[in-house]
Amino acid sequence: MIVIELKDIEKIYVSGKYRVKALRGIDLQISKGEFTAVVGPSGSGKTTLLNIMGCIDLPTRGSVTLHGEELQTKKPEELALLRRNYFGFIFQSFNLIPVLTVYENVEIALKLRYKNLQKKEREKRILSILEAVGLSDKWNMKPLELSGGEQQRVSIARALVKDPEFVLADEPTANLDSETGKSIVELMRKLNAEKGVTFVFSTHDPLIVEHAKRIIKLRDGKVVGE
Amino acid sequence: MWKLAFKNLLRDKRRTLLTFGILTVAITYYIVITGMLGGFEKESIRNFIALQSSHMVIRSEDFNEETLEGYIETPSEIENKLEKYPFIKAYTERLKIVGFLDNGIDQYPVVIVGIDPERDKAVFKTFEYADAPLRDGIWIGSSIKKHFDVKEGDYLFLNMRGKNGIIVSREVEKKSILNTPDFEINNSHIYIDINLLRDMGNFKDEVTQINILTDEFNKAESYKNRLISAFKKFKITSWVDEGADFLAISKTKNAAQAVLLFFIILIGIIGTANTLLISVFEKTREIGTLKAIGMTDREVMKLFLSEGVLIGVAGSLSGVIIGILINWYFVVHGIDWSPLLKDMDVGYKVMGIVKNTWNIKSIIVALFLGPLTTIFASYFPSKRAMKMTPAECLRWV
Repeated sequence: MIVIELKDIEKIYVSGKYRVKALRGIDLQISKGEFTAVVGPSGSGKTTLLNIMGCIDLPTRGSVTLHGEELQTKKPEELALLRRNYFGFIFQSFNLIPVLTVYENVEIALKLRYKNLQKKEREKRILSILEAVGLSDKWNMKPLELSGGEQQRVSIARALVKDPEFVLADEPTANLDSETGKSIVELMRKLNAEKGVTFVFSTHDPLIVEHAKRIIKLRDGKVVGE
Repeated sequence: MWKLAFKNLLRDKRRTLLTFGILTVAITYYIVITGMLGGFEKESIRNFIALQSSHMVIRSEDFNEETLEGYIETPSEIENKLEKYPFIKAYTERLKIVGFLDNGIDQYPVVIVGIDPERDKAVFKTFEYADAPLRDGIWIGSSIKKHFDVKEGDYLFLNMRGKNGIIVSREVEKKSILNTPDFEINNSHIYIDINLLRDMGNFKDEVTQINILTDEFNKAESYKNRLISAFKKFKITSWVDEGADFLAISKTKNAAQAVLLFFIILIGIIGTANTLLISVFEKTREIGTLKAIGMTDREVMKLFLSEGVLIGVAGSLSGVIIGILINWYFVVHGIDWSPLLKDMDVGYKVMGIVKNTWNIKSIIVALFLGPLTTIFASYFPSKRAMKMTPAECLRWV
């Protein structure tokens, strides 16, 4: 079942006099439950592609549909609600809020998704996801007190706590050593298999790519192979 | 939302402390200055009534304010009628004549005020500022004394036009100095026993005015209206009419102070906006993350406005508390302005210690001032954060 569809996507960044074409006519379909890697060298458009899939950015040309619904016509508020309800994001540099504890970083995403959730239920869900990522004993620590791998686990917990349909991960292992990176990918695979969450992640790490069920190759803003 | 806003404020303690400090100082200043101005105003009015206007004045219908001519021929007739009014506590007669003082070398224009020392005490407090009782001498304003450099045993000549138009002169030796909070009196007034003045100017019972003290100065306007209907042939004024010019100047001063306060608030706004703007710049990537995980633009704006509200409430509360404490000290002990007001007319009729007043309105305004200032100041940085797309925020370096 196709859940995200991209047709003839072009993305141009304008900076003063300069125009940079990041994506050049991408056609892509993502089905439910996929575990897909987007690979390619730096500057090939991986992050831009993920941003467009996750309603973080809009294309300059082409159409994006989520469950058959066009995204270009949506207002910023509507796009925010789509991100809140459907997507979990994992960033290369973790992007945790430094003033919040591990627990609070995860809680903020859950609170946004389920505003009326009882405190007890919230606690239960957060502690359960922290246990799943192996951080139940570090719930009260600040991100800067954790290692890179642990921070990325918090980031994964934050993405998954709200039971998203999709998790988009932008080079989730780039800032980690190979062992930690491998364990993060294993964790993502486990969650994909157990919970049926659709994962799309960008990477240029061959060790990670081998775990992917589907590989999309990008070069110079174009899909050059699968 | 509030938790995150609070933690964000604690993130850069020095910056938060600076904004908080700016607000606290501005609000403390606002409360203390309005209390101080209130004290000046209250003291000035009190002194104006106690030294110049009394609560009400009755004058002849043809009284000329510039030449001080136009007399009440038989004041006793009026005074008999005044006895019937229970709200009148005391009254006294004054005879004012324009004249000049000279020491044989130099001349100085003055207003000569003839008073009945005992009756005058019941209405005015002029005697409190003289260094000796009036008796058969004169009180001269401190600035006049300074002008002539009067010393013990020096003679001065008091000159004026008598009732029949002839210039008369009298040598005066016993001179007591009158140093009042009223610059006008110190600068131009001479007090003498009304009977001596009448003798000198060949007056009989004539007076320029009858000054009245009532039971309540705030009711002077309504009392005036009651007397107007009973004394149709005379001109009756209240202290509000007498001090119209002085009160108008006072209002102008308040407007000038309001402008000053506006600039202080503006500095507070700019300071707060500046720190919040820096905060938005620094947190741009975090804003991107929050937007990516589903925070709407409006919620991002609320987050920054919440930071503004928190710091505004804290700044307001501390400013109000410190302002109240400082003002309380000045309300109880006052401030001695003597060194500043010694030789300078600042337009207020005050001297020495002036106590601040409580201005409840300014305290209530101050309570809202902080949050309103910071909401206003944080609106523009918040708007900037709101307008950026999540991708733009995440790309921010």
